[in-house]
Amino acid sequence: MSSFIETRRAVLAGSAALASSFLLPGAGRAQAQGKPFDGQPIVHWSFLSPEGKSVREQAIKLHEEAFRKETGINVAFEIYPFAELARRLVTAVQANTQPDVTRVGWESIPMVSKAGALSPLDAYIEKAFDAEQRKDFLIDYSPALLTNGQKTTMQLETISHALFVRKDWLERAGMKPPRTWSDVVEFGKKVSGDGRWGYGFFGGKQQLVHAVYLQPHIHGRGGRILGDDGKATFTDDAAVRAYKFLSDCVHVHKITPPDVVNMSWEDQTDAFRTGKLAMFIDGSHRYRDHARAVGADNILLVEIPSDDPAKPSPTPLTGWSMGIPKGAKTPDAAWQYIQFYLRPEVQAANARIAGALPSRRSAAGDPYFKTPEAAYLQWWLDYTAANSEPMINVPTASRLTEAMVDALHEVILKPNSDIAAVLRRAAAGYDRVAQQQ
Amino acid sequence: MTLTDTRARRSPHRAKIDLFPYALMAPGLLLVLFATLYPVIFVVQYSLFSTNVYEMVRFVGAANYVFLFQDERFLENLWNTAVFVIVGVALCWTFGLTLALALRRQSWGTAVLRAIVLVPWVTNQVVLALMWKLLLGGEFSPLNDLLRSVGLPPVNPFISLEQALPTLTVINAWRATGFAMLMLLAGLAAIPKEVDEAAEVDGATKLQQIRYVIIPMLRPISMVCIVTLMISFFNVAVLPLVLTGGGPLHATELLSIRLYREGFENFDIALAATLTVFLIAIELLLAALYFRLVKAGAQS
Repeated sequence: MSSFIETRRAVLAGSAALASSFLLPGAGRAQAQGKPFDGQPIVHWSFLSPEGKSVREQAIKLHEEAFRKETGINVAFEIYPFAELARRLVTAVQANTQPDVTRVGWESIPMVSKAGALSPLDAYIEKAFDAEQRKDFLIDYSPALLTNGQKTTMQLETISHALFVRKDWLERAGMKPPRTWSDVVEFGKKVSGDGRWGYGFFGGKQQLVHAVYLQPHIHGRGGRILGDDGKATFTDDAAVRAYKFLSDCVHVHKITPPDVVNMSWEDQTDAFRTGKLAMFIDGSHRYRDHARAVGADNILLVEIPSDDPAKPSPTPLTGWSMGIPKGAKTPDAAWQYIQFYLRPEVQAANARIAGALPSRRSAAGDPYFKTPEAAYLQWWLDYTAANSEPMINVPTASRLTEAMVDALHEVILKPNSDIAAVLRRAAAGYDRVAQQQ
Repeated sequence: MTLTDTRARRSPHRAKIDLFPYALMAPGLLLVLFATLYPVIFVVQYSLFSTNVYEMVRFVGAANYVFLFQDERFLENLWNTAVFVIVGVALCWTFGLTLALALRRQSWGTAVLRAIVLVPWVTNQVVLALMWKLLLGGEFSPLNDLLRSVGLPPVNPFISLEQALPTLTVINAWRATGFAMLMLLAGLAAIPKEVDEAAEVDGATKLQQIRYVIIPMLRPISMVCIVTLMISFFNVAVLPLVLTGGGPLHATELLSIRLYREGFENFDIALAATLTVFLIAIELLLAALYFRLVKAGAQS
């Protein structure tokens, strides 16, 4: 009940703040310029609906109302599962049935761009933001989000990752927050048993998004998943140690159930939310829902451990973007829509209501980020500023992930296997097919 | 006098080939031909090129086919699909026949049971997959909670390289049993009571009646049922995709899942098209067999 009240309070506070932000001088820029697209309908493909019940969807509802009031543009949402958006987009552009604007998932950006399914946004961006303002965007100008040096999407929100820890269990065990993988094992051993497990990750191939934990495990140990030439390099000592650690969690330390081989990301989050899992790596966008399930007081966010207590693993950054499909009928109105969502005040409202990390640094200047309620967001922004890297993003990301997951399956299902040989085989297999594609 | 009569009188040489019905059918026929032939031509063409997503980059002849047949993973996919289809159809037909024989008599109870057996067949495959994943999904499943409470070790066949495919095959056979049961019930209804009675009078046991009377008499409908199920099982993708994603490793990766991955996750359209051509060839063979069996059944 209290979480419901908290959510309701956040939504109400967000609505008031959002409404007031549009009344501030300078906030109603488009109003001052008139409504060039008044009455214009545009179609937006998303996996979130303004009619939905999640906090992210409640935030969208408020933003949509404000946008319609300000511009007169009528946005019609078409909702698809997030894993299907990219596939539908590529085929829709081929069939000339594309929407005016679409959400694009992090992993899909290179592939969708390679398929020529998105229009370059550089001309719009140059008009809207000067060079100084462009520096305000957290990761939009990292190589991972540029296609041949061009921008085809803009980040709506940043997703940063951390180790979620059951704080109440940690306190009961009388332990300090884990800083190294050895600490994870030690705490994991204390809580594993009676249907509870210490550390979780997912190996199911239903969704190929395993880089969210494989990358910090490998990069945090000093290895690299891909080399500068695009070839797989997850064969070095760091990767071998990472895979050995994951396998040992199952077979030696027994802090991870063997079922991880077929567990999806959702299965893992369900396990955490239902009190069966003590620690796992997850994204900032899910914090509020986890907190609602187990209580915010029972969750501790910890920088992703490494083998060195003084240097945590870098948090992988992802996020959702928006882009204009190639051949879209009303690109100017679509850009106005994207631009609206990029405003610092909208992003700050998004943080208040949905707990989303902004994609612009200036949004964090909002007083909300100084409140105790937003302490976890500020913690995440600090971690991101100090030690982060974009998650690996290449057109063949799904092949790369599958190769790494297959290697993980082999290492876990055949505990005596030669890990280095397994990884070499997986990397060679990826290189062979990726080069051919 | 009908229109056809008039036309036949005007041209007596064409009396046997009346083009008028064909002209009436032509628009629909052309539409169907376009809707089926165009995609086939489309995939065959793509299978002969290297591609950058949907863009055909370079003509490579049979290189994609050579790559596929030299790919160990494809051979594994082929084997998995053969097991999934052949063993699955055999199980499905056996379950279906058993249930059809058990629920043959018309009564209120059998009508309810028939409806229950049909539920998995008409239920969305995503729902079924999630249900089985929850039931057999290891540590976090209620079944394993139960097993643990009585001192038994938990089970999870989906993380076993040996058990995953058989489990998936049995679950899919269970799903389609309702369909097989319905078809075989229709076949049983067509067997005259006198045949059963004559067998009884001749002293045949129940098992002998089934073995020597019922199964041979069900042969035409059984063949149609088997071929229909084979075509259906070849195309099953959602159930294994949600249940195992083709894992562990590639233990449950069927051709349909590989096709989905190559086409819609990796966007390797050339490879996906090559796989599609291969699947179409198999399915055309099965379709030809199906029509032959239907024709034979009609004649008998």
